[in-house]
Amino acid sequence: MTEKISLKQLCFIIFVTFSVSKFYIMPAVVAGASAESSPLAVLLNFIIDFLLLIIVITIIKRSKSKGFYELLCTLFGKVGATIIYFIYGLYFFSKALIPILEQKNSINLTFYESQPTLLTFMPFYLVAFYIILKGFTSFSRSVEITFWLFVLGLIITFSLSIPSGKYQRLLPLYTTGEKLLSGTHSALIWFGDPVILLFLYEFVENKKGLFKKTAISFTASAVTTVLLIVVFYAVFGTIAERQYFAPLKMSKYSITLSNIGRLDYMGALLFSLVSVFSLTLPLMISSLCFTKIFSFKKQFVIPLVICVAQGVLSYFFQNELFPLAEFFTSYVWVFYSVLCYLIPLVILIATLIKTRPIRQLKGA
Amino acid sequence: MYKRAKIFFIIFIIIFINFLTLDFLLIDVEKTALIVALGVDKIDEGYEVTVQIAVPEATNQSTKSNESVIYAKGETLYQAVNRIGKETGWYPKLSFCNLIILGSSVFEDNVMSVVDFFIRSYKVEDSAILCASEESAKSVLNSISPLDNISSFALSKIFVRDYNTASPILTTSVKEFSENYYSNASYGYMPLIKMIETEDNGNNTSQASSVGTQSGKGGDDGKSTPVVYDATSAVIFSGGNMVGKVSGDECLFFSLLDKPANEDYFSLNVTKSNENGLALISVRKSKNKVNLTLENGTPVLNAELKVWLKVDDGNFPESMKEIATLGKLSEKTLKDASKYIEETLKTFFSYVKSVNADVFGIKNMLYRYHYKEYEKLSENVFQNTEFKIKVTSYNYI
Amino acid sequence: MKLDKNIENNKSLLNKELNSQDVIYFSFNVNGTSALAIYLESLTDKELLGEQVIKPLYLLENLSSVKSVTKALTLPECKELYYIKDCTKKIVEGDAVILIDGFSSAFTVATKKPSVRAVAEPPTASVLKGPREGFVENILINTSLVRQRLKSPKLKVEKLTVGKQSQTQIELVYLTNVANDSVVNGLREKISKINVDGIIDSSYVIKCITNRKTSMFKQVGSTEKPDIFVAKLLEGRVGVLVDGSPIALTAPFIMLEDFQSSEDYYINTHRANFSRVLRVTAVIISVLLPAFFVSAQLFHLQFIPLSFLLTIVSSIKGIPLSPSVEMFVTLLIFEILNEASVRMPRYVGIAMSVVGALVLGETAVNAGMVSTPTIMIIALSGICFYAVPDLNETLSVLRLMFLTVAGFMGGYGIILLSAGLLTYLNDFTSFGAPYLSPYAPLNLNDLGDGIIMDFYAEQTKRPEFLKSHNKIRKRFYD
Repeated sequence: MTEKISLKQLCFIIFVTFSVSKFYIMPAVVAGASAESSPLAVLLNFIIDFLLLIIVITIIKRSKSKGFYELLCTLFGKVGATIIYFIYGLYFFSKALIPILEQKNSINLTFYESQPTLLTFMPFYLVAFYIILKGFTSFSRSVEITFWLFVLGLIITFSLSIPSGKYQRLLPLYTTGEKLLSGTHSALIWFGDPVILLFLYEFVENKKGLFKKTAISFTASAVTTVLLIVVFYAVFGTIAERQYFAPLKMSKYSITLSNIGRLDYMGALLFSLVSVFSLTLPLMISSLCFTKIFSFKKQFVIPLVICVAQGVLSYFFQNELFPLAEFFTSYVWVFYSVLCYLIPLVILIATLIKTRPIRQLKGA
Repeated sequence: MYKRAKIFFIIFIIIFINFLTLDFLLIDVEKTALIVALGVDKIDEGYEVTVQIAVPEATNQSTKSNESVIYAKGETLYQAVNRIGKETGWYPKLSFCNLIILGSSVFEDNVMSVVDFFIRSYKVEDSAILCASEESAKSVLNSISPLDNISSFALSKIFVRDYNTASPILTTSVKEFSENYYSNASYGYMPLIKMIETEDNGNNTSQASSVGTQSGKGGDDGKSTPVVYDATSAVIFSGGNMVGKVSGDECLFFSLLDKPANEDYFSLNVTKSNENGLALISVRKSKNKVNLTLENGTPVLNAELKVWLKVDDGNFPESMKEIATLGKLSEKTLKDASKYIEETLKTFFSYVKSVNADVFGIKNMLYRYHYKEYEKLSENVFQNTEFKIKVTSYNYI
Repeated sequence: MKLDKNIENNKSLLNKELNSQDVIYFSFNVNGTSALAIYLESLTDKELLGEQVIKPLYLLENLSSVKSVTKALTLPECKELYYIKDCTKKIVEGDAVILIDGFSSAFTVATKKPSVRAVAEPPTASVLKGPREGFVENILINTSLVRQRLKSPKLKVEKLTVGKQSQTQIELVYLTNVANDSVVNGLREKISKINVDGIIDSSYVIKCITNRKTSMFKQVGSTEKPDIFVAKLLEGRVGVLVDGSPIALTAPFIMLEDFQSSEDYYINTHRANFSRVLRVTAVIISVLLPAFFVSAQLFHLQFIPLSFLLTIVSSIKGIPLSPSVEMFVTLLIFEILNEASVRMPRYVGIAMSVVGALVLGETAVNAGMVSTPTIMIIALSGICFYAVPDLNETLSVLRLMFLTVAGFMGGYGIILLSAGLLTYLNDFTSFGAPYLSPYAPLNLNDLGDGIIMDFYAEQTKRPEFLKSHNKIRKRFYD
């Protein structure tokens, strides 16, 4: 069966996965660097990503190929395409690690106190493997359903946390450029998501209104995330730096002293469900990249290898989330930036050159 | 059966065996100590932690809960809390702990050395209310109250009631206290609990057994006389160090500058027919406006407070007509009330200024609203600030 | 084998094929020529055969051909037969076959009269408002019930015979101007390919035509009520009637159909919406409540409000079983009681309820075997379980799965299982229709008949996932 994603589903994927992946430790990391300027810092990240979205959509629109791999083959030959796909395969594989560890830590913090990770989190990879096997059609439909749960989670989280925020804590919104850029820099590893569209567009059925619709969903994702950062900093102020797993913590203050029970956990549960799909997406794309390069008779081999490898890595680094995040924000961001921003730019230029209209010689 | 189904069946069997054995570090709910309040006292060896545990009565009909108080000592707070589990065999569950009491001994040093533990640990909710005690925290948790079987529940009721509204009880949480401490103004306040002995011994029979019965280390500080708690005074902090105490009306009016009123009371001397009397006036509604301006380089804290008042009681006889007007205040009394609030707040401001506790958060305001001047003025901004207050009182109809 | 001119040869051949004592061979004369009526004692209407067939034949004067004989009869359904195989087929169906000496063909007359149950309200789909007729085991009556409601020339009934031994008649029913051809063709192809000994009930057909044979989720719709059947045909679905089964099938099927009741369309829309929301809530409670309760007790005490937690702790004091095993055992008892009470005669059923409620419930609590909250949770889950009767089979398995995972790894296990289940259901199509339509893929038009349904006047289009020829269902003019 050929995989199919409708444009509407692509928009849901953009909104849900681009937002929820930034909900856990990113707000605290940015608050550590930019303090009250965090919303602006993250907004800057989104503006950069919006430019990337424009680049990506232009590539998709200009490309006459069926998919990204075919486009790369046309531009750089099969060897070049294979190398690029291999690099992107590794990129998506590594990009999944931090969010997975974030999720693992937040799960342990919210749900468990004494149980071992092997038991409480590792079954995630079993589900991720299953989702990858079932492909993008099923994935995109699932995201469509989880969209409503995500919205419900947002309503719960925001309605509980907005009243407990002191919004003057966000002043002065802008202090120094250095402070602002420091936050933008520290959040970089959580951004660069629009590059995913390059790998998904071959499955999109009807590309009419691609830019308009993706831009709207991207903007919705940006607004949601920035709003989260605003409320997060308004709730925590100077101690925001310490408050990892924002959505789990910021909505509890209007509820913990009441007798109605921890309604805020409802939001945490919903976000965890949405995150299962959001965390699987990079693994799926990584699997897609490697499947293009290595062909196995059994379809499950590559997804299995990816899930097992990721499982081993996350088990190994299970208590190293914060040092690892620091390592990524200090060093790895350079590679990520090259892959997310520079390579798409190069591909855009190459595509434009390749697809420019050849001037007809007079009289020819 | 399909091959795949067989695999699923095997997985199911593995899960099911685990399900039956529960052999994966699970802690039985019956072995869990549901800590509802935690008290910290400083001792020579380090810290003494007193925890109050909600213990349900083992009857089918009654769900009435009883309490148990356990003590543990440790060089650090973490060590002491951990010891509770080790020495009693119970697993301490801190997520229900909504009240943290700091004994008077804790304030000898920087209080953040204690509060720090609660913002570090994910096991304790930082939404827990933080309060100070005139005596040791242990004695507060060991006390018997006619208000509730569990002393901390009785205390929580006092704090939670006015959490989001103005009150003479300056309720604060671990999060709020830490946020204020780490802010530019680096201030803090927390309500101070005083235990007032009552004559009423009628309710203490059921609780008498609770004190120290399941204690880890004995309960010599336990009291047998029922007490009620007064938390209408507060301790104030500068940079984590306790620098002073404020009480009663000061707390109420200070809190009115921050939160809306919720039927709070203060007493006012009134003159009627050349006779002096005392009226109990309730603040039914309020509006506040506080900002920091720079007037010729001098920081000025402008506070504007509008209060809607009503006479609820007075120690002088009133005519039926006066009572029928539902506690309306005369113009003069309204002016007196405004003046009283203004004077109290001015005194309060002078006091906090004298002890250098920037509880108004003036330095924060300077940073937020006059960032450009912050570098220049921040060092002595609080001391240089002039306080202007205008209170207008209205009759609450 | 062809029929012989000699009646005795034909008789012996048929006797050989139909070697059964309930086959009657009735000899008589037609204009002096010996004739033989062969029929099944149990299925044939003997009065009809005697009055409408044999009596006119006795009086017949001209015997030139079989055709001329059939013209003399007043019965409309007469058909000439040339082969032994056709004769036996007609006889076992209940018709009578008439052989006349000297002719190498026979003729059959429709005299079948099977025992038929009266059309009544089906016990599984009773309604307060709306039609009360239900399908019966006779396919002809069922077709007539459909025809009565759908007097359209576009209603097509295709007859198929399935089952090597049972030779069950199956009818493919659809509206030619509405139903999607690919669904009709797909269903026809799948039914024709069924190669089994016998089709005893329409559920056999379901098992044979579904794509996912191991799935516990329904992939074909089923109903006992002709009004629902017709409503589904009007939406663009294809119906299947099976002889001998009061349950008609419809395809494609989506999960939402289980939450829709025929009554929803007969009552006030507001109430119908409330009922649908209740059904969804009940299903969620039924499946997830025991699991969440166990996981909260084992892993996430903080999820439970302190006062309720203290109640739980006080009630579980001294219970020898762990929360998960306690819940599992109680659930098992509930399932056994359920299984037994469904099949018990009604008067024993009452005794069973008493044993279940009092002896097992009350005494187990008093004896300290299980706690009261557990009994309450199971009871609540059990009640919710019956809010959507069509989902019962699936829900009971799902509930057990969720409970096991919750006891094993707590809340995150429930989340992971939900994610896996969601992926599984989204990978599912029933004759081209995505199983979770209209929510995934989202179709705003089809949401009009979703959990929250639009007013009748607003539901102007047919469901788009059915890819019907004719998209407009109705037009309202003010």
